Amino acid sequence: MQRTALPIALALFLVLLTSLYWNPGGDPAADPAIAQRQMTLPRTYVEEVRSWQYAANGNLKEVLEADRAEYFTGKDASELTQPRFYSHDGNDRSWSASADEGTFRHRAGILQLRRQVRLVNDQTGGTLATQAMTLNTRKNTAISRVPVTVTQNESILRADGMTADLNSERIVMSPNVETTYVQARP
Amino acid sequence: LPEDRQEPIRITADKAVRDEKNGFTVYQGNVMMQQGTLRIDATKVTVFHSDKEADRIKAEGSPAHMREQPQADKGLMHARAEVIEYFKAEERVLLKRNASVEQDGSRVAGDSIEYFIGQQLIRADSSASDSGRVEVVIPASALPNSQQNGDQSTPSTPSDNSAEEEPGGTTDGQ
Repeated sequence: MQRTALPIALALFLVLLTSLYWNPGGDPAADPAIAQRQMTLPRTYVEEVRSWQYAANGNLKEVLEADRAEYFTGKDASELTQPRFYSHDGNDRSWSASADEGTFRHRAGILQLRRQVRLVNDQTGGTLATQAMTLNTRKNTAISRVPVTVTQNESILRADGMTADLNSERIVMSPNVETTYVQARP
Repeated sequence: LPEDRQEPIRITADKAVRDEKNGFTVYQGNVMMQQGTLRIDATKVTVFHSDKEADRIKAEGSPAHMREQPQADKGLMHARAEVIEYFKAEERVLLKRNASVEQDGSRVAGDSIEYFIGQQLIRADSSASDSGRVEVVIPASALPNSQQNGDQSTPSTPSDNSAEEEPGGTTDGQ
């Protein structure tokens, strides 16, 4: 019995010794290209994802969902496909934002939306459309440095940029503001 | 023109602050508002919009300037004041502080003037606290021929410092 145990123990020892020195992945630092490639790969990805956040008093504060979210360690950010964001100000008033693509920087709570961006005031139906917008989920503000269009019923308001405070529901649009208020048909 | 009321209202400005909760939008910086032949130039314009449409517009300037073609065969009407409020549903314009309305040489000035667009009627007031009075100027050319040639009777002075006039000349003193 002792004769057979010794070779097994020896074999195990050799395997352990080998794994210490032989690393199939190799030292990333040894090959920058590999390290670079690893950085560009998401660490994790999830599909049909939704996250809720509640205020200290237990009220629902915001919901963030996406068809797909890929998390990158290096940037501490998630790249989102079809992101949708719902902001609640605790008085049963809410805004919803959506876009084709987005990047969510977790630590800063910054959501950058790109392509077919929509920001809708769920109470008035006022809809802001643009191609790029940055949402600060901590302060509940939104900023856009590219042309924006606000529509409500048939009235249209255009400008070359805007900042919005979702809590006070105020949008400051400038420069080059143009508006058309269409008369409701009698 | 009467059909102006159905025209869309177009506004251009440097900046706009839209308050969705309280239903108004403030335009600032080189503000120009146009609705058909009606045009307002001001430094600040506030549009109060209920759900459906813009129903009240307040223009402020030093002064704010409104002009409109009341009828095809009449000259442009120019209205100036520090505050011009336009009540669309009532087709009424209220001018406040250093208000004046001019058309075809006639001029009405006072502290506040109400201009009823539909009836083409102007009502001017001066505040009792101030020594100012309503001033009405009607060029002779605007008077009907009988009054131009012979009857030079001075229109009766309105008792309460207000006068109503139809743009284009004749004053109905009270």
